[in-house]
Amino acid sequence: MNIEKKEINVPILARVEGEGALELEVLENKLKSLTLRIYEPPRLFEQFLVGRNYSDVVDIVARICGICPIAYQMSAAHAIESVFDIQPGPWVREMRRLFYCGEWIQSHSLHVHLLASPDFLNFNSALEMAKKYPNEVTRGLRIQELGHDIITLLGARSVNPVGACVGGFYKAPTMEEAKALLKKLKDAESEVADMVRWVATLPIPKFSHDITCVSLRHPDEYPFNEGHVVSNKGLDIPISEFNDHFEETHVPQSTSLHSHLNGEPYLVGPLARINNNFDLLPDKVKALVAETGVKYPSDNMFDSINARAVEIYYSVVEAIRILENYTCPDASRVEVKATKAGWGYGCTEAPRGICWHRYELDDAGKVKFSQIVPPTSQNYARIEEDLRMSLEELGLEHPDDELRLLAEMVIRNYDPCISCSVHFLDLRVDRS
Amino acid sequence: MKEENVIKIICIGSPFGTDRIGWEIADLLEAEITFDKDLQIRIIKEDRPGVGLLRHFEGTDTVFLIDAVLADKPVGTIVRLTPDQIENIKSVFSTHGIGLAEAIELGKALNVLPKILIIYGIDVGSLDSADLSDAIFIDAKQQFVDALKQELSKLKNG
Repeated sequence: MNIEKKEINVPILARVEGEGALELEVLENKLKSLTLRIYEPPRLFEQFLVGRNYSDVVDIVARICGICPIAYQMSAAHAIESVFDIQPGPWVREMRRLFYCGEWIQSHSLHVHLLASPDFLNFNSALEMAKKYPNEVTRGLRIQELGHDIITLLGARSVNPVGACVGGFYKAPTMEEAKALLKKLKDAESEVADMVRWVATLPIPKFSHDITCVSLRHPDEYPFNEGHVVSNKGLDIPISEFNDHFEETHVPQSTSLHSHLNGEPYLVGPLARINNNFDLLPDKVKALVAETGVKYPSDNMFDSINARAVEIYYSVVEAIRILENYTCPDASRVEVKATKAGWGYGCTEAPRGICWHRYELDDAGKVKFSQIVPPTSQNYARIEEDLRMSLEELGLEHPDDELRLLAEMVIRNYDPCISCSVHFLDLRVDRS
Repeated sequence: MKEENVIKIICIGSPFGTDRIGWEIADLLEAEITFDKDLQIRIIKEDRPGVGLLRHFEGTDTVFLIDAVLADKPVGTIVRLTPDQIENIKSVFSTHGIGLAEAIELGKALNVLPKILIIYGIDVGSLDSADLSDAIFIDAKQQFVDALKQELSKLKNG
């Protein structure tokens, strides 16, 4: 009897941040094993923080990621403020939401236009796509720039911003700066809505999976910085109880930890967020979504690109709201008057999903312990589950190139930031 | 002064090892380049801008780009390239695989490159074995400043 066994390898993942590989072993057109190997070296940031003063933490964790530094800064700031019982007040709260709008706009725009769209339009790269779709790509870059402008307003620069600190921001924008940015955002709003309509026309694959969606949820607003950790399957916990329900484990093939919720894979990121919080979007955003025909909650992982597009539009609408009400504060931050020992927790919504931090500080405000759970490591188990389901749904009898393409699309769809999590794709399919 | 008459010198770097050399060159240029009414020069420091590089091309006719590169040349070698030669170099750092070369290729595809775009790279070799305080880099930085002065002098004299 001839038993057909094959291996498919994707040795380097393209168009993701960081380095990883995928190996598939196929026996008689059934998936025998699937290994997503993350071989980027460990980053060890948690240990770098031990012994450092609390005031260093916000700047150090920003270096974990060049794409989503604000997520790390915000989670750390909230965690440290919770140790010191600091309430930064409404001005800082609003500016932190604005800061986050900038990060979502720039990170999501990069992914939608340069990383994900080429997959759905059958291009090997964004460069090829840009030749055929110059207007859409140029518009995407303009939108991305709005994100950079917001980040620069509060962070002094768009890459590794330095404006945030425990208690708020080092400097408040002037009225003139705020007004100038408000005008730019208002001028751009209609083309951002056009982008959402365009993304909804992309021919995305139709897959239906039972997905556990995890995100923050706040009673009154679409979540950025605050809320409970919730799932679409009944979880609703304060952020301090994260470790009671979620478990990070080492796996042999990866320098990144893998996370499970009560032993099961789960999804974080824009699709999980919009599935759990669609009702909290402003009516204007809901109306645009209704116009596109995309329905939330969605159980098609490939709707992630639509969720990202909607969140870009939401971020523009929210940034306009914040800037229309902008006033210069007496102080742009609350001073830390006294340090104290204790545990602090922070959880905010990075573009790729919840970014959870836990710190123990000593009496002098030095870090004794830190735990950082980035979104991408939370998604690995779900990515592997998605790969198994999607490849089997496609049919493993298909040629290696087709399997490889779908596998890469599935992985890219999560916009994984491997550099953040180590703490791309080289696919190998073994059919021998 | 119209924006298209502004000459932009964009120095790309990062805080990591020898990749910082672009920023150090920017500091030297600030100190050494004479500003006069005939040439409006703007020196810009950027930290791994990715596709954000393209925003600096808007409305400007002349751009010089400076970056640490890996060009398989001896460490400290200065390479001068035009956009059609850009595939010969590799940036030291990039995000999502979008470095200097990819950003310029995207600029070509979108037809947004300035009329004059000159890329100056300095081969920094291995990040592990090199130090910017080495004589080889001190010498290379000065050679680079001199080369830029000549470029600007040519532009000034038409």
